[in-house]
Amino acid sequence: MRFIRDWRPAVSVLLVGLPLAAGLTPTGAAAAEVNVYTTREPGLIKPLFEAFTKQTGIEVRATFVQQGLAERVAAEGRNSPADLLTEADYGSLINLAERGLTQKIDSAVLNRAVPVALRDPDGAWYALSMRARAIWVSKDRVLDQTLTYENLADPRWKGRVCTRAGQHPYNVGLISRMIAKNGAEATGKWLAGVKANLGRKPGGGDRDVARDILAGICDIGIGNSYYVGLMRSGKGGKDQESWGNAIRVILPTFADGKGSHVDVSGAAVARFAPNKDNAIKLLEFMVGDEAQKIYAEIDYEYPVKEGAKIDPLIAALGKLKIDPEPLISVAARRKEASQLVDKIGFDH
Amino acid sequence: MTVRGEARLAVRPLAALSATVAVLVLAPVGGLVFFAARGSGDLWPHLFANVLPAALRTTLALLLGVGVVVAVVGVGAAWLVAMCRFPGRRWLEWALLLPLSIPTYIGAYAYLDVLHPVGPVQTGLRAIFGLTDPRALWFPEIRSLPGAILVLGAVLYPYVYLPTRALFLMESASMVDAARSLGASRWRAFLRVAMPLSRPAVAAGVSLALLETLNDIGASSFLGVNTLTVSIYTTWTARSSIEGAAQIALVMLVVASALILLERRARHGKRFAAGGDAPPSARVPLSGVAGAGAAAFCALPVFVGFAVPASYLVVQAWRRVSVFGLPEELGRWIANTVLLASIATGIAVAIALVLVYAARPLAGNGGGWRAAVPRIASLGYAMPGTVLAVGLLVPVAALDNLVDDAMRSLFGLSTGLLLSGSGAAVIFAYVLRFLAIPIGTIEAGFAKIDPAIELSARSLGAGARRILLRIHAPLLRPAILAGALLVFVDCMKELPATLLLRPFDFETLATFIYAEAARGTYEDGAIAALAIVAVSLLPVAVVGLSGRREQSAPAFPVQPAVAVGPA
Amino acid sequence: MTKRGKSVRIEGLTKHYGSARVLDDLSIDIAPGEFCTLLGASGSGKTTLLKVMVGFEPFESGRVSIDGRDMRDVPVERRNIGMVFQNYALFPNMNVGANIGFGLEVRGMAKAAIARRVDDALAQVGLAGIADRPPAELSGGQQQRVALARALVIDPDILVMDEPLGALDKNLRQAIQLQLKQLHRALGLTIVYVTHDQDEALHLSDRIAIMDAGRIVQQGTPREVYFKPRTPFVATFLGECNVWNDAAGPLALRPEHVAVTKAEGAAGPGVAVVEAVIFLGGGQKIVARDGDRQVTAIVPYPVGAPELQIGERIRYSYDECSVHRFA
Repeated sequence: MRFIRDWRPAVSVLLVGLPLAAGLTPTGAAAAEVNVYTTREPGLIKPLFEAFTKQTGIEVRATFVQQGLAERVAAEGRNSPADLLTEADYGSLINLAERGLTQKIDSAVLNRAVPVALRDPDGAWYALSMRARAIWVSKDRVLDQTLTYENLADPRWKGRVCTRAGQHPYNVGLISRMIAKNGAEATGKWLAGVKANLGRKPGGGDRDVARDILAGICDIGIGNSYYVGLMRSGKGGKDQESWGNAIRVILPTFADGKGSHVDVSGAAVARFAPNKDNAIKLLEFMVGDEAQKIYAEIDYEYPVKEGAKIDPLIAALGKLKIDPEPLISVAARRKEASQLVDKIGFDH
Repeated sequence: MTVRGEARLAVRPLAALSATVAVLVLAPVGGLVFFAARGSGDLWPHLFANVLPAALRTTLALLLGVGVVVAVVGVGAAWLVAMCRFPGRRWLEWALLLPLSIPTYIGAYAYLDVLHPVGPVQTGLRAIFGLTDPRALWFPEIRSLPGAILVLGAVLYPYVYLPTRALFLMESASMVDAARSLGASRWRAFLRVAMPLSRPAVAAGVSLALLETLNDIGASSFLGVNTLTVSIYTTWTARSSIEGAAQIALVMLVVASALILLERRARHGKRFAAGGDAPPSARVPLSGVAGAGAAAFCALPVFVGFAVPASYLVVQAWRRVSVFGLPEELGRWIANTVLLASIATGIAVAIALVLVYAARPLAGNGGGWRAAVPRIASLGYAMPGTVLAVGLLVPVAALDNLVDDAMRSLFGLSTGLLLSGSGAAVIFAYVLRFLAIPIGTIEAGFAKIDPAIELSARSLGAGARRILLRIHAPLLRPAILAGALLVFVDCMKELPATLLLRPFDFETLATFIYAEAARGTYEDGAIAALAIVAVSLLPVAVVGLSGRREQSAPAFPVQPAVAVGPA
Repeated sequence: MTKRGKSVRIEGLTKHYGSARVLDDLSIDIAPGEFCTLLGASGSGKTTLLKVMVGFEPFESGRVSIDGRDMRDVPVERRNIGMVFQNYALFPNMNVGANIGFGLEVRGMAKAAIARRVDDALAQVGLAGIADRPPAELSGGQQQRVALARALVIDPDILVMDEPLGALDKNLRQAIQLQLKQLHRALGLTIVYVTHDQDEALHLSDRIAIMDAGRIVQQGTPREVYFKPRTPFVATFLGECNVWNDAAGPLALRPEHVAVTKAEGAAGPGVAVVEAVIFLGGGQKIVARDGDRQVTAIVPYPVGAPELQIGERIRYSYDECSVHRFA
């Protein structure tokens, strides 16, 4: 003990460190607050929380977790401070539910607002917004007005296709749906065809696809619908605006013509939520008119609520037809899709 | 125990501390084992067939490439700066450290943007040649293995430059003089005498740079280079198998540790020599073409590793600031970042000092098991930050829940989570991740202190604690300082552990950059990135200046301190 | 100021480094106030013995007591032994004054008192007024004396010195030897001194313990060990010595006890052929051969007489009472 007492550097570090650590420790539930773990970028989701606090007086504390949200909640277990878990894709949502990290809730408001296909049948999670995985083509060099996802493998695009990594959840989602619809073998052939058409190594983000199309590295690529809004609005700066204006957006369908691949962002109430009521309130708020408008206007997403207004930049892309394959069935193919990407060596 | 070591009495608290740290350091490994042990089903045949061979090839090629770049640039620049006189030398000697302040992922963003066909370089060139088609000029693609080697090599070479330069300054000068007097040409003296002498420093520096490369995720994945670490990441995200990811991570940890041990064994006994008496003889003046060549050789890495990415950030940040002004919260992010980084640095350095001290041969019978503790404590550096962070989640939360259960059953009182999602957890992760750095610098410093000095203090009645504080700490100050600065800069740049472990509504510069980059509003991120570079420059400047001072008064061998040997 | 040093008793000490036995059942008694020198070649275990005595090195069996008290559980820092190291081991981060004051600081002495004692100690070793200088600026001899002052200022019960003069030139060494001797007398300290230099041992010691292979092969006053070596090893180790066999067995004879005259005529008993003549300044050393017996003699330089030449025959003789017979 004497040693410890005289251990001046350690003591001074502790003196500074402990209060800090204590100050930053989540200390249970205060009267009116709700704690959110989110994989959605804070810039996209913060405006929603601010509006919620303004309306209800309930304070929202959020942590943006890039990866490992499920692991963190699972590890924290019964004492987890998390009330609401928001995810950027359905795969993660379903994963949360399957691992028993969510709880089922029964809310008339939610059930009314969110279409059946876009929520867990038992209320373990709810989609809050949608985006389409679109095909982007060069405004100048590609004349096609309609395309299917399958067309991306056509030999005419050889050396002209750009995309982010095949293992990225956005692409894994698309491939999963194709497996669900066309079967693994056909999807494998298609993916190999797309790989053969690549103009550069898969990588970067969706916006890089637009930039590469502007630069002439590619003529065609895959990207999410909301990025188009973000780029064209100028919110990402002049450069990005020019990228966004270099492309024409096609809302593709699969070969059956039924509709586009749509992914969702969504949320679930955590199993051990200390502020369950507030979490449900926040969830209900997020499907309300005000929040759905924010999704549309700030994030350029498609609102899940029927009849909610779509931002003009997105509305201009054309009418969105949603492929009817249920998310659950798509989600079941994720592992297969990911392994297919490996087998084809898509990212190498 | 036949040892009647009276010495044991004096160091028992140190031994206890060592043991504690060893256990704590193994915590994240335990977390990984926890995940890995759940089994990953049929994943491995798939990984073996389709993922790992390519990932392994890519990783080895990347390591080889980065290794060659950092060694050539680091050693070459160190040699020129230490042994020759040429225009701009004094300025370059310091400037060569600047790329330390550039996080690898920023380097990758910057280069993709700058060299892109619609970026400033190609646009400018087209304007000069009067071309309009963006495809008119052929440019090498930065999103490639060579691109990643360039970006990583350009920001990591200082890990080699720093210790090698110190070594050249300190001791090889007189040997090189001797070689010259025996008729060896300057070039031959470099190859036959200076290079072999500097091998331990070069090996230590290269191994640090390679560990950084191996564990890099930001730059590699952004540039589409699918390394093992990227595979771990995709196994976790796309293949939805944290178990498989943990298993790959553990295998990689074993391999990395084995390599590190090999490297240490290779230079076992080759101390960074005690010398330091012989002041370097006059630098060889280089003029004309040779001088310009030397200046260019040293200026190029500064340009590529610092000037380009930094000015990119300045331009990007300026665009944002000129329209919207500085983000309101910038001050708070800086404060958060600096606070976490300083506390973690303080703890890491204090622990490193104690561990190295407890492990030194004089502590009882050859250091005993305590000699292994610094090695164990350096494991964190051989793990990708994401992996360490997720590994840490489990034991930290388990401890929290254990405390909570105990408090509930004893006092009917719930303590909730004390450490999980707290600043303490982030600091803990930083310390574990970067402990290897101050351990390396302090060990190198220790090797230069005459053991008799400690014996002498003991005979005068001083106990272990007093000797550490009154004698060793002051003597090790340069080593401690260098280690502290490197850790500090690394903590500032750290991203994945911060993201995963931080508290609610807690933003650091790195997390803000990531959030903005994830959303694509790079310009907002650029401000925070610039702030990281700016704050990192302060300690880098201090390292540079302390190195400079030492030169004029080489009374005590200062710097190689930075001869960081991890693990 | 004057006080009596304490006794040191070492019994049955054994220590290995790995499989090498460095101390072999070694015992020695050092009386209070005695100047005892451990003399041996390098590797004989003398420094190890010193370190064990001070408490730096653990050992397997045996016992170290100081003033009758077993030191087993007494750590180095409580033994109150002053130590002077071969390379002085001055703390480079402290000036001379802080170096010397360190032991007093450890003992919690007030600053002013420390300053006073430091000045006294510096004066004692003839270095007054350099307290503010960093050790690196001092000459070797000055550093040595600072190290001595640092060890003495704590008022140790025992002063141990590990080849303290090894790095100094001969003149300086002799000057400091003298100073050391005076200090010893004035302070009444027990001093344990390690050296491989026989002259130094002979000049300084009350008692010399000669070590070989981890054992003490002989101990006694300088005169005893010089004139009555117990073994040929001791005899040759302590300065030059003729070790011959005659009818009565082995004998030792110091070269200065051999008389030499020019031999006329042929070979015979007591006649040897000169192989080397070495000028010593104060005399000359003659090495000659008589069959398988090598004869070394130190004799006055023959001023005015012709010098001996290599190959010349000499007759050598000695007084039987100066012959030492090994027991």
